[in-house]
Amino acid sequence: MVSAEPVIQVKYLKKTYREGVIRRRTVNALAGVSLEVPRGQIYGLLGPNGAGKTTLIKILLGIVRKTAGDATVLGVPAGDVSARRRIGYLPENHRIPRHLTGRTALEYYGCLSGLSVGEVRRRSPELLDRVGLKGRERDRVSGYSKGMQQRLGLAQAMLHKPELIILDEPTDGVDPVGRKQIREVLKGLADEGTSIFLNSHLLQEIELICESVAILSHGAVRKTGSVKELTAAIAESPMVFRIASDPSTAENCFTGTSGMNIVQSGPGVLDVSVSVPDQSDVDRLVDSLRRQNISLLSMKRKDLTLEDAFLEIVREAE
Amino acid sequence: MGAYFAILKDSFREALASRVLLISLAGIVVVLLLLSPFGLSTETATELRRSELARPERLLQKLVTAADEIEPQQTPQSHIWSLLDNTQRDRVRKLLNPDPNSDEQSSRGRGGPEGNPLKRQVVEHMNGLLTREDFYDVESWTGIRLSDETTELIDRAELSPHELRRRNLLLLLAAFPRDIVVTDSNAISLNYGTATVVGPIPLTREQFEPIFQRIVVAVVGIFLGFIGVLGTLLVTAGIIPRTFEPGEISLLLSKPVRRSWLFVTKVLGGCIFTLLYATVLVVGIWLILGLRMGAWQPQLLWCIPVYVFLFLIYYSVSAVAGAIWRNSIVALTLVVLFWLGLTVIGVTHNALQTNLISQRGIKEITVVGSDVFVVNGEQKTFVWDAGANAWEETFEEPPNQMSGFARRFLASSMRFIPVYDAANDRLLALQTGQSRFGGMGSPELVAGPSANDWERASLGRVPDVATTILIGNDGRVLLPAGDKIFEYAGQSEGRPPAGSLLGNLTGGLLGGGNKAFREVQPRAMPDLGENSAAALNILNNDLLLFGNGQLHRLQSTPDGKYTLTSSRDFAAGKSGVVAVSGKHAVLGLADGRILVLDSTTLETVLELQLDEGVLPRVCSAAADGSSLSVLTHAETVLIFDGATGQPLTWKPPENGICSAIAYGPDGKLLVSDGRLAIREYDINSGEQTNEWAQPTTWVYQFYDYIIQPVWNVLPKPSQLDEFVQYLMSGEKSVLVNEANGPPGLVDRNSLQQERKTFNPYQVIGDNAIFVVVMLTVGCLYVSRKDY
Repeated sequence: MVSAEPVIQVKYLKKTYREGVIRRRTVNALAGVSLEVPRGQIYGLLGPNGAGKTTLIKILLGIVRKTAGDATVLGVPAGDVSARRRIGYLPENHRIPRHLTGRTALEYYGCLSGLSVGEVRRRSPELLDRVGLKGRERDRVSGYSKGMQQRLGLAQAMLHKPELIILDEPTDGVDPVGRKQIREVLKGLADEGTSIFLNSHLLQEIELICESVAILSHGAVRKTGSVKELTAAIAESPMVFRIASDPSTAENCFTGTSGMNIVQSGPGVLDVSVSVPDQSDVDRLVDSLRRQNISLLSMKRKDLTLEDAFLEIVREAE
Repeated sequence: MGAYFAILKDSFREALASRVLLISLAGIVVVLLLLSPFGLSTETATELRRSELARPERLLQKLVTAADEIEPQQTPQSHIWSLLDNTQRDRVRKLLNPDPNSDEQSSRGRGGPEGNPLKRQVVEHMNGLLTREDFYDVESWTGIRLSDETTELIDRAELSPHELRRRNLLLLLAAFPRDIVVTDSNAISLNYGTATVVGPIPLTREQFEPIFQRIVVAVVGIFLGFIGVLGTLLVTAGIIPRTFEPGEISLLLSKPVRRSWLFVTKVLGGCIFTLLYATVLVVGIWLILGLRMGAWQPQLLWCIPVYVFLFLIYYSVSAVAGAIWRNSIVALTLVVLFWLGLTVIGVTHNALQTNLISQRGIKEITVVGSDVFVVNGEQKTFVWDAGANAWEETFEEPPNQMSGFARRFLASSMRFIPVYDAANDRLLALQTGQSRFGGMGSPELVAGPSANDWERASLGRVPDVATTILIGNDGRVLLPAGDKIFEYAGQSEGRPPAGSLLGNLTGGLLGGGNKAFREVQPRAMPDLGENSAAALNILNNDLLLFGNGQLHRLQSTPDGKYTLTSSRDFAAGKSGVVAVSGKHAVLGLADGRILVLDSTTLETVLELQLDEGVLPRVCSAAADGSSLSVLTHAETVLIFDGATGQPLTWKPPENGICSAIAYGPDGKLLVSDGRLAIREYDINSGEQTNEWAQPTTWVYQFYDYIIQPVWNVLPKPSQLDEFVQYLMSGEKSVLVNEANGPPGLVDRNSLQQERKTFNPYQVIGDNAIFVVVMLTVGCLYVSRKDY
């Protein structure tokens, strides 16, 4: 059941890094981020490199200190020890000590999360099975592939049954089969009521599993909402006309329309994509085609992807 | 706490996974296995040990005297002489009367008491005789007191070679009871498996144990304090940098742990490497010592936490550097530089302290009218030159009297202090000299007349080992020595003719008609033994002699001799220091007790106990009986009222750094500041009345304002070796020369030996403060850092 209280609530959050010893300079990583992540959802965080995504996550976990603004996680100030007890985290490029095995790594991180050794040992087999590491738990981590280390990292994040799991590029280095497995694990967790805050540069991943998304760029949230809302929020999608014509005739018909793009899709068949937001303009184009005796084989508006929306929003921000 | 325990547990896993550590541990096990066949065996002594030959000159003299007697008597000495062949007899005579041009003369002073070649020759001669069945002669040993064991062996019909040597050794001891001093009837040998490597060792178990302890401490110190710590620093240098790498620290900080505790726990976890290393090494050595040598010393196990703590001192530096720079090479480089820095500061501090404070600092004060004489740590005498505002050397020792080595390690148990002989307006002193047979020989009485500008000249060699010059109010010069009291009777009549054996033997004092010294001791004179103390009550010429734990009062008789009037046993160690004047005497004992006594009855008026590890060094008394003082090895001063015997309430400002005390003729107390200054204080008011202070040079200022403050602030890991030594021996009063010099050379019982009080809590505290500061810096850094 989804509670009204958001698991993450960020208001006007700012973070300024000061770099250099002699020639000091400042870098504004976050320039007033405001965000609410509802409980029980898989929430995606998108943004180009350097947008401030990892900084935002680290502030939520207390790994980095905020410069200004407010951030609460699970109802308590971000970074509070009591909140961290209820959070699972898989950092990007994490490093599990090489001398540990899968089993002892879970024991180590489980105990750090406040579990007893007995509890860890009781939960580990099922968890290792769930992330696909069953049978490899006695192997040294130093012998694990990147994908196996990601799976182990995910297992340690889930071990203490946290209310919120924060994942930073969880499928990085994981093969397609593994990615699907991880997606299923995350969906299962969400079904069990766990909130998941997912940072990934793989837009397809986000699109597939996230219910809500925030797009971060230049240290500020540019758009939030569901994938549908985001794609709908951007400009109208182009209209694609499939016609039987030669290119020069077709070009004459579409003269004066913006965003024209003609592609030969078959012998004597052209796909002409133009930006025509108004229906009257569409009607006028159809009339024009018919006047030129050009056969209109089909006509439809193109579907927009999250990537289209993301690129558009980022471009706008620049 | 479960989270932090998990970090420690992980450190254990990491340590056990370290190949370098496992290889090191395997190496230790191999070394321990190689050492394990070493063992000590104890059996009844059958040979004379060099250390037991207390007075080789006298032993040889007795042999030769017995041989040269006109009417030879059947004595053990004459019988032993008869057992020597002509070559051996010539050899003995040459030992007593060496050819000045021979090599033996140049061998003087070489090697100390155990390594002296002449003494070794005497011992070899004697031991050579112990295998002879005819060593025992009934008539010769008639009247000699023999032990039960000796009698039982004599009565036995058949003796094994071992028993024969034992019997003869006991007979030899009975023949020379005062010249051979046996403290342990057993002999120890060092074995490897069943083979004897060294044995019997020419030391008693009592003498061997402190040496053995120092060897063990040195071995543990090298393997653990140097190789072990350096090795584990190499292995662990990467732990903290790895922990604070972005991929690992982000994961750790996302857990409900506090950064400071995470850092501290990781540092403590790094110590587990040393813990494993130290445990294997120390437990191994402990088992070898216990199983193979019968020396179960559980205190040795304290080396484990001590050396882990030593590692922690260095590792705290490595950890902070690792947390800041997240680079193991930088961390390791810094910790090595830190180690080198501490070594440089420590060596500089010790060198300056030895040369400026210990060697050149004022150790004795003598006031002669308006002149003030001082003696420094090198036993050089100076007089105050008011015009130059400096100390000018005077009463100089003739060159090449004694090597620096012998002065530092042998003569350091002898107090060199000029005494003013008012009747002849001269300074007198006992100038110690090395015996040709090793150790210290009889001292020479030297005088420096004022008229000769205090130039030192010999008055003759004292017949026995005297350590104190006492001058009575009648001008008599007395020299207590062992079981004798000599009175200096005037200039000798010159050296006896060359070739006279006894004359050469005694430096021309006994055998050649020399009447320079006459014996004035009572008929029942107690033997004071070594490290005795003597004082004269200037008001009535009574003598107080302390030796072998007993204090004796002797009164002068009309014939100029002394008679024993009372004695008191203090059930203390053999050593003590004493001073007397007027109604009271003050006695400092080797167990740290200070007693103010009634000078007539020897009854206790007041008893104080110095702090643990603090021993008295000098007792002094004002000539008018108004005051008595004690100077301790902690450089503190205790002052007592001469009339009541009660302690005075004031202390001189130099209390705690004072290196010498003395009374002026007017009863004022002179106190040195451990350097080159003396201040005079009025006993009643405590006010300063005079000062003799030579300005210090830039070297002192460099020491005071740079080296000493840096030394105070920095940790002192080297002191942990002393801490281990303290754990092994339990002694808080440390002999400086023993700690710095070769083992077994200095006289451990002498209260004149330079000592320092070892404070184990301070050593741990000083180093712990540094560790806490470093960890605090590390905690603050990681707490404020964005990762």
